[in-house]
This record gives sequence, C-alpha cells and structure tokens, in this order.
Amino acid sequence: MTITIQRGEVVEVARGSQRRRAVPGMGLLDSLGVVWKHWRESFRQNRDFSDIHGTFTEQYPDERPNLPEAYRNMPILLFDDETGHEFCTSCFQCQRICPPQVIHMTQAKDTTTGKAVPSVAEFIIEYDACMSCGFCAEVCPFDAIKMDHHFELSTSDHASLTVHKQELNRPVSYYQSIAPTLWEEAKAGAYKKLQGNIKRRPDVIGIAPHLVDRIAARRAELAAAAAAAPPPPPTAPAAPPAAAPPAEARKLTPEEKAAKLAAIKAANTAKQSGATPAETPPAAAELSPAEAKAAKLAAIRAANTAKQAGTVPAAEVPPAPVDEKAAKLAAIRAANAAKQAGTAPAAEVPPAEPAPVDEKAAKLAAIRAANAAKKAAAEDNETERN
Amino acid sequence: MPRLDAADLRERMARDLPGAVLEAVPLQVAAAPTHGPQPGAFLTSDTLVAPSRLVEAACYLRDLLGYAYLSDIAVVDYLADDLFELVYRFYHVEGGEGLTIKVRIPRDHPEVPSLTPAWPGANFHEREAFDLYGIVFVGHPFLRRIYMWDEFEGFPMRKDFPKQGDKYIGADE
Amino acid sequence: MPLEIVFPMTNEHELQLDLERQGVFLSTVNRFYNWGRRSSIWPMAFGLACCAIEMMAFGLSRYDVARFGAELFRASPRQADLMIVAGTVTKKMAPQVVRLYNQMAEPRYVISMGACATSGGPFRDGYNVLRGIDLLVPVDVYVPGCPPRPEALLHALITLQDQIDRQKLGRVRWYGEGAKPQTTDFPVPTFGAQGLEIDGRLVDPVGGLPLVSAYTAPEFGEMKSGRLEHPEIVRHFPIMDPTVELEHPLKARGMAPEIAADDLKRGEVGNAEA
Repeated sequence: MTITIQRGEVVEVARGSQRRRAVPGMGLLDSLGVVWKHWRESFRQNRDFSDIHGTFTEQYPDERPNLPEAYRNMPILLFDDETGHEFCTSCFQCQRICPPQVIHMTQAKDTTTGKAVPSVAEFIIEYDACMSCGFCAEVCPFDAIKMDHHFELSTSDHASLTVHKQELNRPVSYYQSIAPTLWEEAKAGAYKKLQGNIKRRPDVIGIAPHLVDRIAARRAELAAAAAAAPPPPPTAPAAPPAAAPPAEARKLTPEEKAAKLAAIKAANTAKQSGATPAETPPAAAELSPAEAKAAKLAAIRAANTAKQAGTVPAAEVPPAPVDEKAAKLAAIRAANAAKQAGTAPAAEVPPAEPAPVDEKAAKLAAIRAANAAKKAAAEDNETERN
Repeated sequence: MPRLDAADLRERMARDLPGAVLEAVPLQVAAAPTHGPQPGAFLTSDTLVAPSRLVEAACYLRDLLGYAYLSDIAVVDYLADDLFELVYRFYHVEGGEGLTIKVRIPRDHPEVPSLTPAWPGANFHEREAFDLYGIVFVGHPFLRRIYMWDEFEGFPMRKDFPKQGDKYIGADE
Repeated sequence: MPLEIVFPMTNEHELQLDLERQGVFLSTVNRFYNWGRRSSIWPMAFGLACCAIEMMAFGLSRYDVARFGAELFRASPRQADLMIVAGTVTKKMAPQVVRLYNQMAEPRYVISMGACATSGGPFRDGYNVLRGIDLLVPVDVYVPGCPPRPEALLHALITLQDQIDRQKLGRVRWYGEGAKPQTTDFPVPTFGAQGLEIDGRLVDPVGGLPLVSAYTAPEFGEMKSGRLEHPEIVRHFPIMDPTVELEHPLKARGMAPEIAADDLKRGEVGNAEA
C-alpha cells in the first residue's frame, strides 16, 4: 500500500470510534480497565508469540532452551564408544583454519620407531578465545571435532578455560544424542576412515586416555587366553607331492585360503598335464602369512612350469557357462592357450566358448581374448629380448 | 554531467593535465611463495597521479567533472614493492558509480600534499593514515594521532609491524 | 570427561558447615548478608561491543534477569554492585574501565562476559585490543562464548550468586582480610610508547607476547589484591604439555611448518597428473 503525500496536504487517519464519554473521568476508568486486562493476561504463558499479551519468559534454570541440532557453542572431540579410538588423526586442518588460532595439537608418535601415527598426542583448545564459528567442525575430514551445545561454561578460574584432550573427549553416543541427523550423514564415512586409521595405530596409541588402561588390560587378557589355547601346530615339510590333509580343522586366514586354493589348482593342472610339478607347495593348512604368500607364489610357478612342460590343454572344453563371468574365464583360458601355442587368434572367437548370455558378452569376451593374446605376444617379445 | 568510467577519466586527465598522469606498474600484492603456482601481479585500472599534482587532479575532478564528494582515503602497504599507495575515491553528487585516483609514494619517505584545505572532510582520514601508516600530509592543519594514543611509537598497520600473537616463546630458537 | 555443570544451591550442606564454624550468630547474620547481596545485585551496564546485545536480551522479557533481582542496571558506578564487562576492551578504553571499577563501592564484583573481555577473543592479535580485563581488574566470573547466550550469562550470574553465598562476613578482601587484601585502588594504566604501562612497567604491549593476568593467577576469589604481582610472567602461548615431544616447533605455534616455509609441497600446475 503506497501513500503519496504531497506537500501541504493534510492526511486524516480514522482511528475508530471516538466516543464522548457521558461522565468526565470515565476515560480514566476505561484505561484502568486496560491495565487490569493486561495484568490478567500476564499470567498466561504465550510461548508461540501468538499475540502481544502473555508472558514469553523462559524460566531459565528450570527450563532449558530448545536448541537446534546445528547450534554451535564450543568444539569437542569424538571417540568411538566400542573401540575407544579417537577419530582425530592430528591432520592440523582445524588448527590451520581456526581464525583466532585457539586450537593447538601435537601428533602422536610410535614409541618404538619414532614415526608419526595418525593419532593426536595432545590437543588443546583455548575456550576463552574461541569464537564458536564452527570452521573446525566444517573442515575436519575425519568428523573428529564437532560443535557442542553445552553453554554453561562460566567459571571463576581462567586457567580452566584452556581445555585439554581429556576434557574435550566425548563418546559418539553423546554427539548422536544432541545432533542425530548430522551424525547420520557423517557416520558411514567417519567409521570407514576410523577403521583405516585404527590399522595404522600401534598398541594403544589413539585410544581415549580414560579408556587406555581398561583396553590395555582387556587386550592382555585376550592375549593370555590365546596363548593358553592349544599350542600352534608345527609347519609341515615340503616333501609330499600331493597336498597333505590339514593337521587340524581350524579356520584359515584369507592368505592361507588363497594359498590352499592355488595349491589345489596347481595340483589339478599338474594332474591334467600328466607331469608332476617340479616343486610342490606344502600343505596350506599350517602356514604363517609370509609362508602362505610364498606358497602361493610357488603354486603359481608350479602351474606355469607344468603348463610349459606339459601339453597344451587347448582342446579342453569347459562346461557351458551360464553367465558372463564364466564367459570371461573361458576367454582368459583360451587366451592362455593361445599364448602357449604362440598363435595370435586375432578375430577368432575361442572355440571352447559356448553360447553366451547375450551377444554383447560374446563380443566383449572376444575383444578381451584378442587383447590378452596381443599382450601375451608383446610380453613374449619382451622376454625374448631380455 | 556524463558518467565517466576509469578509462575515460584517465584519458581526460592525461589530456587536460599533462604530466600528472603516470603509467601504472603492476604491483605484487604479497611476497611470492617459494613453491607452487605464483600469483599474478596486480595491475590497477584506475588513474595513477603524481604526488605533487594530487591537489590539482582532485580539484579537476571536483570542479570540472562534478565529483565533489570525497568518500574516503585508503592506504595500501605494498611491502614487496616498497611503496604506499593512497586510494582516493570520489563520487558524483547526483549519484552513480565513483571514480578513483591513486597516488604512490615511497615507503621510507612517505609525504604527500594534504587535501584538507580543499576538503575539510579529509581531515580525519588523513590523520588516520598518519596514525596507522606514518604518511605525512603536507599542509594538514592538525596532523596528530587519532586512534592510538599520542605517546605511542610505531605505525601499527604497516605490514612489518608485528601482530600481537606473532612472537611465541622460543621464536628466536 | 565433560565439564562440570554448576547447578544452583547444590552446595547447601558444605555452605552450612562452613558457616557454622563461625558460630551460630555470625553464621546467621552472614547468611542474611549474603542472601541480601546475592538477591539484589545491581549491574552497571558496561556494554562495549556485541556482547552488549546479548546483555540487553538477558535483561529483557524472554531471558528475564528481573527474576534474579538484577534488573536494575545503574548507569553510575557509585550505585552499582556488579560490572558486567560485555565486549572488547580496547587499550584506549582500558584506563577508563579501571577508573570506573575504582569508583564502584564495595561489595563489588566483575563478570567478564564473552571471549573478548576474557582474553581478547578473536581480536587478541589487534594492535589496540586489551587481552582480557583481568590484566587490570580482578574478575569473579568468566563467561566464554562469542557471544555467550543470554542463558549462559544467567548461568554466570548464578555462579556469582554461589560465590557470594560462600563469602565470610568479616573476612572479605575489601576489609583488608585474607592473604592478599585489597584496600587500595587498582592502578590505572597509562599510555606508554609501546603499550599500556603501570608505573612505567609494560603491562600489555602492542605487538609481542601476550601476558598472563596479574590478578587472577594462581589464586582467585578472595585472594585478589590491588597490586600488580607478576608483570614479567609471560604466558606460554600456545600452551603445550612440556612432557610431550613436539614434532616441529612451529606446529606448536599454530602454524604448520609448510605454511611457515611457504612450501605447500605442491608441484607446478603443469606437473599435476590426473
């Protein structure tokens, strides 16, 4: 609504009824009535600001404010409830970006080697100069530092406003309770990075200080229990050709499993080619990881020598594969066969390949076979040159 | 009065006040980093005026072109190029975009004629430039400190003045 | 572990025992004195900067300070009990702050509200900013925050009320009792060539090392005196645990060594490989 008032114009505003009161002094009583009405209204709570009457007072110590999730007061550090590991890796990004430079930290070091560990040894925030901007929480790549909602920080001791890591640490469950949506978004990435960091933290480095003793004690317990278990089996000799049955049926680590599989495959190809492998991988059951790797390597070498020594199982017709994976595998086998034969099956679709699921897969398999053959030919040339 | 832009002003001033307009040299805003991509030097598009002809150029802006409102006087400390650059911004009384004049003076001998006799409003701005950078305005009626106290020694806004947090324990280690 | 949350009136028991040591009569009188003082603290409105806005909110209807008896903001220090220093104290304003504090009549208290009044805050690098008024004036309660919520200031008021409850009648600093009696005026700093000075000794230089509070370290509360105790103490800034080895000295000073050496270890743009 625009009102244009020209110079010299008088604007009259109508304000409602202007009663002439019968008795002089009634106006005063009318206004006392207004006062009475307002006083009565002041006993009504008006929290949603629906009109101008009523009390809006938030009775502070008894009623706390309803703070939104993204409210920022002072920064805190997070640690995982279950493992006790702190998310912070001392990457210095929060220290760099902090505008008043109130964050200070020291990187943790491996006590034996002296190398830096992705964990923080000492972390200090000067709460007395922090301006609650939240940049540290925004920039942290590991979701380690977050903004707390706790604002009742007044104290008579100035030195206590310089807080150290022990006072800054909060469990993830606490942050989840104050900012569930924000944590939901950040959770997956944070835990993934934490797992990676835990692997690189030796011993108890990186565990929240108040939990270190407890966790160290628990680990000692577990180690003692493991030591008290049946004694580890002796390593089997490498002599027997076929894979000796495992001495005990205990769960195999991935490396041992791979070694066992390689050994079985090698044994199979050796059987098919009819020649006994020059060196037989030892039983894959009781192997340490290093030995398992060596066993795998040995198995591969055995397979190669067997292939070179024995006849080419080129005519081997693999069973009809029902999906692309099998088609790929068939293509690779065919490529290997071609490699040994020394021929380059340029556009030739490997004979052993049955009808694939769709033409595309077939074409892909053919291209891959061709590439593999080309690569094999190139490698052969290289090995010849060397 | 027609609205001018920086290029127009340069041209007119170069024509009407011969010798007053100088060629602007690109300046380094900060020291170049030892590693990584080097930032380009900053070349201003505003008119650079010789210090001795400043009052004349400013009065030309006011009297002939109508830019009578001197808005502010700012100082830039180019430590890498060893000079101070004063930026004078003028606005036309009827509104619109302003025009800028720049003056460059050496850092070790910073003297420039004062605009206060012609513009009384420049009084405090020049006092501020003197207080914080140490630039002496010749002809200023009352050149004293305005932010810092009179007994203070030093010019805080110069780039070589230490910030309060700069020296840490063991900084001389 | 989380910082302590101070709830009002949790130390009733301790308080009682403490006061009863003085004897029944004195302790009752003491309780009345303290009750009177804590229930009608009249602040001197000393809003210097942005924290003043939160202080206004603290005085208005939503976060009502009238419920605590402290709604009467006095303009004159002579009539005020509490000086809430709300906002950045510049070096030029600092002598006036001390003068006003000297003019307040005992019992007088100081709340340092916000980051700037406590330690200079985000502007502590500035050439004209006093790094905390506790360099010049004894502070009873510090409230961190930028700005602290009005509820945080109410919490500070409650903390102050608790402190007042614990005061002992005759043994207060302004009556000359305690280890460090405060019977003289606090010295008003003068403007020196390099910063603020008291009696010719530099208290807060412009440019250079920040200083520790002369009045609140290490004792606080009733032990504050009016004398400048430790002008030569420098705060180790940043404060690090001396037992922890630093990987690089500059890292401890808030600057990564790569930035200090201007070497972010990035190759030329042309060398960057996708």
